Amino acid sequence: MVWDAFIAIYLFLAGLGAGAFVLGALSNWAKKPAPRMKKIAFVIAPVAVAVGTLVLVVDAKAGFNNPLRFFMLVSNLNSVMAWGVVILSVFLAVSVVDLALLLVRKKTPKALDVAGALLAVCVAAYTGVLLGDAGVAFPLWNMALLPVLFVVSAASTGMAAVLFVTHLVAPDEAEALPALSKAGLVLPVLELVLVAALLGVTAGTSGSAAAAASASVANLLSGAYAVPFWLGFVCVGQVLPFALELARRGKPGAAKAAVSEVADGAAAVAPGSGKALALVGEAGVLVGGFMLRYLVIMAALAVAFA
Amino acid sequence: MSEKKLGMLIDLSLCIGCNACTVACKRENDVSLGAFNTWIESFDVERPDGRIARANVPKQCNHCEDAPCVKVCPTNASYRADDGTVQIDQDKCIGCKYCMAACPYQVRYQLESGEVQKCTFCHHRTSVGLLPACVSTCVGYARTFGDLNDPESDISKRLAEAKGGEVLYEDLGLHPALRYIGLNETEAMPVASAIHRGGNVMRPYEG
Amino acid sequence: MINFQSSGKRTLANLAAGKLKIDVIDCTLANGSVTPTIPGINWIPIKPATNAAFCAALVQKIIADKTYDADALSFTTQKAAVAGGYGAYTNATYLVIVDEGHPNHLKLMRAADAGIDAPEEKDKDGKALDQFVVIDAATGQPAVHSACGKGALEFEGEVNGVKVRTGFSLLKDSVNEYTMEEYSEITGVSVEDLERIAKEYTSHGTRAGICHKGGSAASVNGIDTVMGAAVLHAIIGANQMIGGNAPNSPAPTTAGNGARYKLGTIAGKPDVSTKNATYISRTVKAWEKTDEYKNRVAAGEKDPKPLMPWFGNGAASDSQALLSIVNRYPYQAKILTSFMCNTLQATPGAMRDEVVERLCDPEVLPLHIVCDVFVGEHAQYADYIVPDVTPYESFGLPTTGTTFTGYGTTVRWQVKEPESMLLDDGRHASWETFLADVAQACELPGWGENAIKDADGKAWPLRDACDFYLKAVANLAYAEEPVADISDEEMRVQALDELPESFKAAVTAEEWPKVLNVLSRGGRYWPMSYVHDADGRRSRGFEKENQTYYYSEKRALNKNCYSGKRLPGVFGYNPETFTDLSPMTDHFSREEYPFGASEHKPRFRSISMLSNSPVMRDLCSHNYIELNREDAAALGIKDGDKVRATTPLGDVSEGIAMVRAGQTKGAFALAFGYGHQNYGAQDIEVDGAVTKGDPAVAAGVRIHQMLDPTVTGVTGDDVISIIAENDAASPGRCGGMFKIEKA
Repeated sequence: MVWDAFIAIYLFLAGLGAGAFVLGALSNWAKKPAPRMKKIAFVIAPVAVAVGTLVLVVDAKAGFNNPLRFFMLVSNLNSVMAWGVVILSVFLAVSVVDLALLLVRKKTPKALDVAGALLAVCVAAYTGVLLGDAGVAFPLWNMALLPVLFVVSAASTGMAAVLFVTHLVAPDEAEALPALSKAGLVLPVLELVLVAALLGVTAGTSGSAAAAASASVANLLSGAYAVPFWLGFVCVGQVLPFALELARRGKPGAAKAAVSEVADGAAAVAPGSGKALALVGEAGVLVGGFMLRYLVIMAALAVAFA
Repeated sequence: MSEKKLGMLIDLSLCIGCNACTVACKRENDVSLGAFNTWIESFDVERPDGRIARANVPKQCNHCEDAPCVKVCPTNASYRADDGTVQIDQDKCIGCKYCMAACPYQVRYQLESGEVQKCTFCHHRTSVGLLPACVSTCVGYARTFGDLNDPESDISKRLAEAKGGEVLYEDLGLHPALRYIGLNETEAMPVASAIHRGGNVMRPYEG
Repeated sequence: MINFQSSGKRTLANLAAGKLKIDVIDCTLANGSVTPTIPGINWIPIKPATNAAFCAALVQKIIADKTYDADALSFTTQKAAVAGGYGAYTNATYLVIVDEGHPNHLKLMRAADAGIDAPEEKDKDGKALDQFVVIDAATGQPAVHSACGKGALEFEGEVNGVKVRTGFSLLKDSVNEYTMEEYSEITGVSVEDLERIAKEYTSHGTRAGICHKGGSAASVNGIDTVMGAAVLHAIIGANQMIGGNAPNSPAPTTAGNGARYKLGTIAGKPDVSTKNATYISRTVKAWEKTDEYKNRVAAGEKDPKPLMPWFGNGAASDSQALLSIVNRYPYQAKILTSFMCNTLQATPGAMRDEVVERLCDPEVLPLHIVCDVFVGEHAQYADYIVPDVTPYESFGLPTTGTTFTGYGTTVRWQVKEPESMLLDDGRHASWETFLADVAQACELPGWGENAIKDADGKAWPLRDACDFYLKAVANLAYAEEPVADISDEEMRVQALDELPESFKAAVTAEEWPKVLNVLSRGGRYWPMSYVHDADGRRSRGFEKENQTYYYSEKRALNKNCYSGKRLPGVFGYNPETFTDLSPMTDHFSREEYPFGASEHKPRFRSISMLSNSPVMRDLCSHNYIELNREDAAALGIKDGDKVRATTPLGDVSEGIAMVRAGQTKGAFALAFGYGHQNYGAQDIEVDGAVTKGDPAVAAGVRIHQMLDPTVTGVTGDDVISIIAENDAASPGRCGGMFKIEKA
């Protein structure tokens, strides 16, 4: 294991921040105005990405000890990481400026919002490309699927983070974007399909990487990481939020049934309380989003695995 | 082509797994405890004639021509030197470990101070005309070192006899400068014990 | 097997070139020349303590096929062998008295037994030489061995009315005691392999050999292995032949009476030998020859039994000495001084609480002084520890042993100032300074002023290591042709001009540049042509006898001190026995204890050392209990499981299983050098300062062999005696009886 939970935190926060920014930008087109939700999203975005980047800086021990070396970070433009540094920096600048404008002028230029949203997509995708470019060593890190998967996960975690806070501090704005509810049903399904595809493609790896590939898949499905994978990522991260979203849309009785069916833990939530169910679902998405990054890093075995 | 390309050839039939190379390397390069620039993987195999033999496969940086570590390094700390080897400029390394993640051979490790290190082909020795420590100490003369682009070098001659030798993970297309003789033949034999790195279990025997 | 690095170096190129074939007969497939892709070498798994059965099977097949070198075996003297183109001879043709009623039963027949009136022959010291009797191959008549060149190999009949047989014919019977199928069953080697190897071995003239070292004989029946290898070497006439069994690295006299200094002559040296004294290890002297035996018989005791076994044919043994000390038999030890050894750790079966308790008891051992660099298991229990120096801080002229067959020797010398304490007079604490000071305080001869005489009769002092060893180096420098003086440039480049004044003072000004020449080269070696002639024989050393015993009178006459049993004087396979020569399987069930043990050399440790090396621990943190994969499957043991090997007496060796194909069935193996208790694993307090131990030093497992129940049973429970070789006295390390289970 080369990278560990530190990098997973970074990948998670960067995705979360990116997703949050996109949501904030999208709130411009909300049917009902949702100014507080936008503010929440625009605060979360730079903070999450900045904290994630800080984690990265701390993890880069030699650079942390010799900070001047960070100025050489864009020396090699063949390196995905060099581009990542550029993307992160520009995104941080844009999102901070946008936030400042929002706080000072209560209004943001749409063009900046759009630019920021595009950069956010790049940030989210970059976290996948970063791993994908090391896929020659770790066959689980598939260049074709990981960026898409991480973008999808960024969207759901960003959304979940913003909605979580919104439900707490501005509950009246939480349902401002009806599309979000739809997204809450689509994204988990999409994410599960993408993970299944990732595992399927990895398992089908041939040649020198075959052993490491199948061992990585086995690690997740039945090996050392099977419990966090099935419980943390699949159940808590995808099925639970999906079921709760479904329940919230239907009758309270149906919600109860769905809850007891898929997750015993959620039964502790007071039945009929839509806000509580939403909070639990959003927390589940965040757990699942982190587990995804954590598992993709930790369960991956190198071609020369030990 | 006059460009220099240093390489190493290891004849597995002559490697007795004594680990003198490992120790010489540790001493020569002051490799920290727990880390290895080179190591030997040893395991029992079933020969085609049914008898059991002990395989010893030395591993280290392959100094790939298309090195993923060089490609992914954001600061150019990892680079290809004029002699064709892959080196690390410690003063540029930020310790992001991207190179470690990108190396399919997993030969890199992080120092206590944060920088990444690996086999240099004993650059400090070879640049003054000496052999790498592992080569000069090798008991069975299993290791040969020299310029792959010089047809008169020992390694080129031995490689010519060995039809170019074999490389680890050839299908990854990284064109390593570390060549082997007998690698494919050895790997084709069923493994009949744990794989040991030195004397420590690297992969247990599943039976 | 010899050090696998040097054997690898000497064999790999020839194997690769197809000029050499090797069969590695070993319980465990070690890392070494048996690589998957090299031609000409096979690993043949064998059960421990059955090497003699393997050799006996070969000898049986070779005799049956008549593929032995009858010429080489028939020479009766060294002179005849050399004249016949060989380098050595055997006593295969000597007649053995097999007449049970004869007073010299089991002895080789002498001229007097045969009624032959032979002129007495004396050696150069004036001692009368034995005149053995053979059947002259030319005449078919009895003759003394020195009077004919060749004897009849096979003879069974009467000479002078006494029933006799040749050693060779006795050997034939001995190796035929088992069938090839039985040998195969005993050893685990297929009949096909046994026959193939016998054929291969006899297909290369004198250019074949058996490379075996101590480990192959480290069982209670180990001497059989040594005799088997000797018989096999002589059976093709390979002794002293290039490509055969060439002796290892003869060297000129260095630490003895050499070219410059008489280091072997000590004026006033007390006359102490085994004739007037007794080794505490109960070796060299037979039980019947001891004062105790004589006194007890004189007191009217019939057939007295000793408290612990005696080994009349054994040399000095540290393991037996240790056990003697803790049993206070044959006499009380008053002072034990040991230097750079860890007998407690290295003696299988000795490392147990009751031994340690007695070792620490001043009643048992009043004073125990250890000189060592490390505080190992043995040193841990000493009353005083004298600091010693490391190899780079000390001197020595070790012969190169198995790594070199030419003429010459290596020199080890103090290349750095020792780290041990500096004494007031400028010397550093070491074994040598300790000896010198104690000896001078006790006014022993051979130490202090005027201790050493040079070739011109001038006297020199002996107060420090350099006083002795640099004179030995001078002997080497002046041996045969003196070496050249070292050049000034070389002296400067190697900083030899900065050596301590005491070094220079140890030899003459004339000798010093020659001594430096030898030091700078780490020894002195002559060209191989110096010892080998063009015919492929050794060109030096022919004047010396090189006889192989096909019949060992000494062994045949060695009466066991408990049972009175004797082992045969010819080579053959004898199953493992306890001290009274009763088979182990008479005492315990093989079904219940089906496994033997086999220890082997570690790659990452030495015998008892190196576990304090962080680099070695990095390479290998602990050893394993190595098990054949089929045995493991039958026991339900998986690779990496914790397992336990237990003797019938409850001794336990516990470790991590390594399940592999490279281990013989029916035995477990472990690399020695692991499983420490001290040696840096423990905290040490010196003058109030505590040095923390590192438990990682203790990792791994050491073999725990059972004590000998036949000694304890005969002489009382209080006696602690290890299982041992009946002739050699060496501890039974490999073999034994164990059951294995998951821990």
